[in-house]
Amino acid sequence: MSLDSAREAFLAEVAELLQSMEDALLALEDDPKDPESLNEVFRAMHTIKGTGGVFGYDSIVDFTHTVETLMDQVRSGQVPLTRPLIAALFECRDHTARLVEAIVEASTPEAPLDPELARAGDALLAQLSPSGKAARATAPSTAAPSAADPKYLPVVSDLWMITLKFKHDTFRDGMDPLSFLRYLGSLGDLVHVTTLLDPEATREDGFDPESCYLHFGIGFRGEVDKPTLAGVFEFADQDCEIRILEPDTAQSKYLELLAAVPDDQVGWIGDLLLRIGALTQGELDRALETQAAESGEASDGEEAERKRRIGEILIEQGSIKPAVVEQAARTQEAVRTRRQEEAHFIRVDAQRLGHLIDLIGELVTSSAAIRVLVKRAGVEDMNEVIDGVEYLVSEIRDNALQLRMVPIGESLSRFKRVVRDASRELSKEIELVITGGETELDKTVVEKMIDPLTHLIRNAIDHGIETPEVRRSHGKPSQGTVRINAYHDSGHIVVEIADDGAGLDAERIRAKAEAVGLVKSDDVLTREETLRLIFAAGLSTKEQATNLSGRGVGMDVVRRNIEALRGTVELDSHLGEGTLVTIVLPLTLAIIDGFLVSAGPDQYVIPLAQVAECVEMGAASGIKRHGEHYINLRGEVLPFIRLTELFENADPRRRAGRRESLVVVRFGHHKMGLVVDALLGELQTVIKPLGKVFERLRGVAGATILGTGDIALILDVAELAAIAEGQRDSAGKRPVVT
Amino acid sequence: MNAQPECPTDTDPLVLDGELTIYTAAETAARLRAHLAERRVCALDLSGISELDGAGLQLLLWLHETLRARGGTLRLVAYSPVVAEVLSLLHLTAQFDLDSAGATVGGAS
Repeated sequence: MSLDSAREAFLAEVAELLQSMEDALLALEDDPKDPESLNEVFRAMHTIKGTGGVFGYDSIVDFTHTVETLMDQVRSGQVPLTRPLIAALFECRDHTARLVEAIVEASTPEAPLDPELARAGDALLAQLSPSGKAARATAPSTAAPSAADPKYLPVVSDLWMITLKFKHDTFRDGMDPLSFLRYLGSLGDLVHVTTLLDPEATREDGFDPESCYLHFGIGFRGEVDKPTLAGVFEFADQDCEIRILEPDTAQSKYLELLAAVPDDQVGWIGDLLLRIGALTQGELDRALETQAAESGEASDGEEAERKRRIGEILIEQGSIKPAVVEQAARTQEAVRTRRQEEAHFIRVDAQRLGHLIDLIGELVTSSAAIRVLVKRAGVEDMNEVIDGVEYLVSEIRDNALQLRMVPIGESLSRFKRVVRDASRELSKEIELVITGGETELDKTVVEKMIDPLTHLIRNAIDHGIETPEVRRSHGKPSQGTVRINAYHDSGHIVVEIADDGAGLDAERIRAKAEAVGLVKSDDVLTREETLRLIFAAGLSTKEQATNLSGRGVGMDVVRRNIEALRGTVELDSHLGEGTLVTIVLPLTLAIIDGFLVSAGPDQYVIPLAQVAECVEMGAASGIKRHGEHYINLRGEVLPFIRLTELFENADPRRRAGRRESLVVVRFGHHKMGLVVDALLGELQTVIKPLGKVFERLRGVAGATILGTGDIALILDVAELAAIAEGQRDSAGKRPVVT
Repeated sequence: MNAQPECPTDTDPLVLDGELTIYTAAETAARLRAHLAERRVCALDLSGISELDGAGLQLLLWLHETLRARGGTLRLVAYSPVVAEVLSLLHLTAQFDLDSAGATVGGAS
């Protein structure tokens, strides 16, 4: 299956629209009257219908059309927006997504719709239809209406004024003017009809019975828009001069619509009026012809001035009322000024961006290489130039990475739906509170983070939050709360998922872990270690597996996914009070600022953001104790690791007692020291993954190529901290010697 | 449509029946012209009309206008439901008011 770029754009657009529709529906659940959200749902359906139509996806057009019609009625207050209706609209949104999916999978757009899908769609529409039918019933479809009430005086303001001047050849073209009027009658009330003969007919001998001289003036009342009415007379277009003038009520609707036209859709005034349905294509064409004809008459020099405005011609032509044209002109003007002020957004293929960042990575490495060469050659004059180049490269790097940064909130908002659906299914009352949605991080990190996050949130809903009855009996509010909070912390992003639910029962985890053989009954574990067990494979304390979670897979997958992103996940929980899961992830996967150190013959890079300070070893007193090192730094006891001991690569030629340096690194609330032989300074670091062979290597996040062509290992401070505290040893993973 | 025999006097209505459409318009117009030649008042019996379209209606309007221009009138003494439907659709029922003297609308709704 191959998609051309237009279809791909269509799919992207649909995905976006469906997302905003979902957000709007969620908002409507809180406030069913919110006009903006109503518009949003309508707009989503309307636009999908339109674009779907362009591609000939009839199944989408048919389905969305019905929903759009309903939304229109909801907007105008004809149909009340009830909770069941919102629920049905959610279903409709999902169904639209499925339709689009089906199209993506189908080889050709003409491929017939899967009958099951079609049935599902019909069933959904049937859910909407009680209201739909009611609305249709309000438009009476009697063939000969209103004559029953001849005394009725037309109130001009809410009537459509339609004039039809049939041309002589109408009958000869096989057209019967009466059939158009009958059809019009089926759409609403012909409140007022004036039938006239062209004066030509009554002239002496001027009457040809086979020519048509009929003119009609019609006052029409019905729930229709202008394009619909124009459609009635579409076939008569050649044989009839048609004017349709909207009622005052419709006019005020146009004025509203005009004020609300999205900026990017404002073009020519004619198109604008066409778009909101105030004008038909035929009317516009006619006016344009008039304009062209007039300017043709004018001499070339003054053409521009003589050319009348299209709006003027339209008013004169009787196609539209002046007030509408004025508003359209105002909208046009407002947008023109706004456009100049606004920044433009460009949609860029993520792959291109990725490629750019790769190239910048190479550039960083190259500029480091130049720096080394210049140093070796000892050309002092060039240092300044090199400094400039490096500054520029780092600026380019930051800017390029910034391009990929997206606020995490966009991705988090999808969880509102997850929480909503899940809480329905489980009959729980749950509120999702998202804070820090504006926190930015690399899009690739966001994407990889969504799955683990989904899992954690489902866990919170399913295992964490209790049913309302249970919550009340424990003296908690019946509505549970799940909180997602995101913030930046020293080059990392921290995402917290907290619930105020039942919390984890350490004893049950312990019992379960013993049952599956993860721990022995005589092992001594701290509370934290016990809680951490739920990240081990095959452990679920939920007695009954539900659809959502609890099948014993999950938390271990969550941990693996997060660790694959060089992040960590921690968990804290108090029985009866709730659970807090903290995920810490690097902001980006590609390039970081590093601090280069050497230990033994090798060089290592420590992420600069995690370096707290550098101290000379002699300035503090080290105490060796129980095989672990602790240091007293200004009264604070710090654990520390000697890198040469960790990697067992001490240089035998190096004499003991030579000066060493201590790099104090922090990670979250942990702090520790790394003892190194020499500090080599800051550098920009392109992170290269180490590949499968070194997967089990702990304490190292990746490698980077230095300007000299040497390779330096990038240290994973979090893992080093774990090693220092001896925590990981119980999991059976020890640092491996390089 | 079938033309009935000539109507002898002014007051006797001209009877049109069958189709009054574009297919019979020319023929009917010729008859009406002949009929109108020396009259200012005309009465029509349309109770036998089985079909009426825009051309047929136009013919009636033309007749009406022509007579009015001469200061005369057009009277409909009777019409069929088909005619009633068209007149009501166009709100012409009042204009073509039935002759109050014993006119019948054949089962018009």
